[in-house]
Amino acid sequence: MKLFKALFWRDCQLCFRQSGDYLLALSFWFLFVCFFPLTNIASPQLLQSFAPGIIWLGLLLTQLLNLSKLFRDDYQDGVLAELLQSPHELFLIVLFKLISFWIIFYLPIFLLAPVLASMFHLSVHAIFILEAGILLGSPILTLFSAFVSSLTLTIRNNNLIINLLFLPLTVPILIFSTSAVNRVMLGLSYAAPIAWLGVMLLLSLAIMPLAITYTLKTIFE
Amino acid sequence: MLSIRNLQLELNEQRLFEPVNFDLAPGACLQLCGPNGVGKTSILKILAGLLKPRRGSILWQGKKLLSLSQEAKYLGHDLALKLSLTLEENLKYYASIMQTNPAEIHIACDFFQLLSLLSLPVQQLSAGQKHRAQLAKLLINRKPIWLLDEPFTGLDQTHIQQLLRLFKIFLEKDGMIIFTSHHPIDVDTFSIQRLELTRATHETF
Repeated sequence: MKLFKALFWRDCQLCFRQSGDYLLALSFWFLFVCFFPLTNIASPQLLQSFAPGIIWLGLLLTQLLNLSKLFRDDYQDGVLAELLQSPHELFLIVLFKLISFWIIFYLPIFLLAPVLASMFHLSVHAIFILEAGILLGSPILTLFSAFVSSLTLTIRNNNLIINLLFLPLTVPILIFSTSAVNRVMLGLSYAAPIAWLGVMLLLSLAIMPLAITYTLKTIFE
Repeated sequence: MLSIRNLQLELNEQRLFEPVNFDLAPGACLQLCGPNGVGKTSILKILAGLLKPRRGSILWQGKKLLSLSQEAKYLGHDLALKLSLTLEENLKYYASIMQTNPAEIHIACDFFQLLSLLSLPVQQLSAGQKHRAQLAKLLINRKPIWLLDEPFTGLDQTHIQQLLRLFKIFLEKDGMIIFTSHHPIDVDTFSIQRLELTRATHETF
């Protein structure tokens, strides 16, 4: 627990000191989503149908902006190599880093999403399902992007390859999370897409931290 | 006692240096010398567990180890300090990750004359000060072996002497030091063994 506190506090301090980068990522998502209704005020029905897609596309793009926070900065300045020499298991370090990343970047988004959703005239029920989708989907995004980031650490100018690897992985999350909200608005059952998100979350929680740990270890071989 | 046997490394299918063998007793200091690119840093990284050798073995107190990552402290070219955080925040984080007593930070900074810089962001420090901040980690996280990559680069005369004094104290307490340097180090208070690395003749395994 002390290790988690140290890692989390450090990540908070870094975000605070480089608040420009942090706020850029958050405000990018916020402005991207909240400017959309301005372009189409005429029809609330049309806006409603766009809402889940726009909110989730914004999330994906923001995650791309944030990728360097997951291991890339630490790799470049030698902090990762130092962590390998610590008495802690690398697996725990990876797990704690992922959790603190989620708290720092996705918790604010999770809290702000209802505000934005109300700009799209979403019903309370639909907002509730949207939030459930974010709660289940955003950890998967974190895990996928951490995996892709750790795979590409040693490649210089890796942005293109990261996009090519990461974005296709996110397609199912995008489909299930938006279709859950769309189905609520059509009065249909949303259980299936939400359940699929849950399945994906459990699977990636079981596999990804181990895969990331293994990838990071092989980099230093 | 540390013994290195037949250590080899290959890069792009070519052997870097002739196989390396040496023994190091407690209280001994070894300088790795050789031309640029011969693999001095690579040997330190292998010992620190940050690189995998092609073949060879590391024996520490009679036991065969994959690396000395838990026994040794490695200081490389990377600073491993976050530029936007203050020196104190960096060192406190380091102490808590390495599970050492935070009180050591004060002692270490006192030794390297960093106390007045503790509240400054690391990006405001000069190159020599950053280097000393990195050296301070040796005293915060105490290990029986030090692996130092060019520890004297960027230091002024007074701090070179200060570091040599630290070497002496550490060696007297049966520590072991392996460091790289291009220049011969001139000291009379303790002896330095030298190991000249030679480029491998181009043959494949």
